[in-house]
Amino acid sequence: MRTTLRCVDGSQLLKGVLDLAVLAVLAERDSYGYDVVRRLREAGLTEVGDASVYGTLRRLFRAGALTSYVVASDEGPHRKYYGLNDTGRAQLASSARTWAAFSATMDDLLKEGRA
Amino acid sequence: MITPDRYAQAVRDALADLPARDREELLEDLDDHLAEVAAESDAPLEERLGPPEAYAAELRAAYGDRTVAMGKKGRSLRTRLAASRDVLSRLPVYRHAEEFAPELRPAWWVLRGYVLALLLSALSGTRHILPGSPAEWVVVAAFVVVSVWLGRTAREGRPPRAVRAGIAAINALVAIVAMVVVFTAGDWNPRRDDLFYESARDAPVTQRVEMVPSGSLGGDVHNIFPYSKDGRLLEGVRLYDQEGRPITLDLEASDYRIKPVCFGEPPRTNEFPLPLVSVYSLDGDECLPSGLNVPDGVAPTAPPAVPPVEPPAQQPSPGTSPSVSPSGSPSASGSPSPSSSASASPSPSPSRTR
Repeated sequence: MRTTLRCVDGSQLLKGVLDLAVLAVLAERDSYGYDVVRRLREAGLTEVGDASVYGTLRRLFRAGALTSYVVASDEGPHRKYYGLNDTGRAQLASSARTWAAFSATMDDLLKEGRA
Repeated sequence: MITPDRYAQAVRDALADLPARDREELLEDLDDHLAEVAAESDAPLEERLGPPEAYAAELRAAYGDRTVAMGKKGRSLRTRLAASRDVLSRLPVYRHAEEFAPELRPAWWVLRGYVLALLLSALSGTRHILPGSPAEWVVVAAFVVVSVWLGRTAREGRPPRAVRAGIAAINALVAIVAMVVVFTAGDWNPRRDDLFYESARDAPVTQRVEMVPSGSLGGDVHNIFPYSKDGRLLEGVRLYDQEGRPITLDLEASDYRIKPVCFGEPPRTNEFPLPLVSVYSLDGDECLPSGLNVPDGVAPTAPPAVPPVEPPAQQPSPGTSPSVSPSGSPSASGSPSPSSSASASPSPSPSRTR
């Protein structure tokens, strides 16, 4: 049995909070898949994968946290927009609280380590 | 350059193992999505998204751990076994045993055949460890040969799953039978009555005490008055059973207890007649001078011991034992004849409350 020392890896952390990040983006305004990816990257999550976002959207939709509607466009493909419903907003609120508590704990830990 | 359609098809193929409904739900608007991505830039899709297989894997992971987890669940028992084996194999003892065990295999094959043959003969009625007749020896030899052959072929190539399962079942059966035989083998040792008797002679009062429940002799027997053939009350008669264990009476249920001895050893509980005193008697705290078991005061408490005396008085006439010719006369001399004691006894029965 081997143990590996694992460095904090941005993509690993992202996996845990991608749901929350997607919900937060959609809470701001409804978006289609590629728009969500772009907005997440603009917000600073540059490593976010296209497939991860697409898969997360589909899963949240299946779980009943999102509404969706198709917007036809003349020049490009049809776009499927996603938005939060009540379930999604509730999930966002509770996940946000969990995240806030968690990140505060981590901040404290790191401060103590530095002192 | 790969088109969005072909890329999407490759992703679909990579996810072909998903349940149809899941796959449909997940890939519903993949084509539109990929077209959007492709429209964004002139760089080929593969460059921007990676190979379709990697994209599919990422989708699968993001869409839900359900499909991944199901695959893991099927493996979990095996993985857990492997993990515990990893832990064990760090122990030197286990490693040595693991290296040594394969060398014992042929012995196991022989034992397996042997036990199976004997099990078969046991089912047909004869139960023993060694084959009794030449025919049984032949059967045993045949089983051993088959078992060894089976073991060798199983080691050479991998037999089909069903055969392996059957062999495993037989192995388990044989192991259980062998253990049962080993644990019950002790019953076949010679009886040890003689040993018990020897030790009992050395120390007459041992821990092993035969309790005679007072009911088992009929009525409530709480004392025994041994009389000789000539009608003489015997004193200090120590009774033992066939294995040398002292015979005592269970006085719990009676209203009597053994009068304590003043000095020295406690009174023997198998020396009859017992020096009993009623638990209600006022002078119960009195003790016996040691060495004298039956004082005059106690003998009367004996319940009507008349029956055993009558036979000796009449016995001389039947010729069962010619040696007791001078009967009758000595009994009259001085010893307390049972008949007189019976008359003197104030019959303890009324005092009983239970």
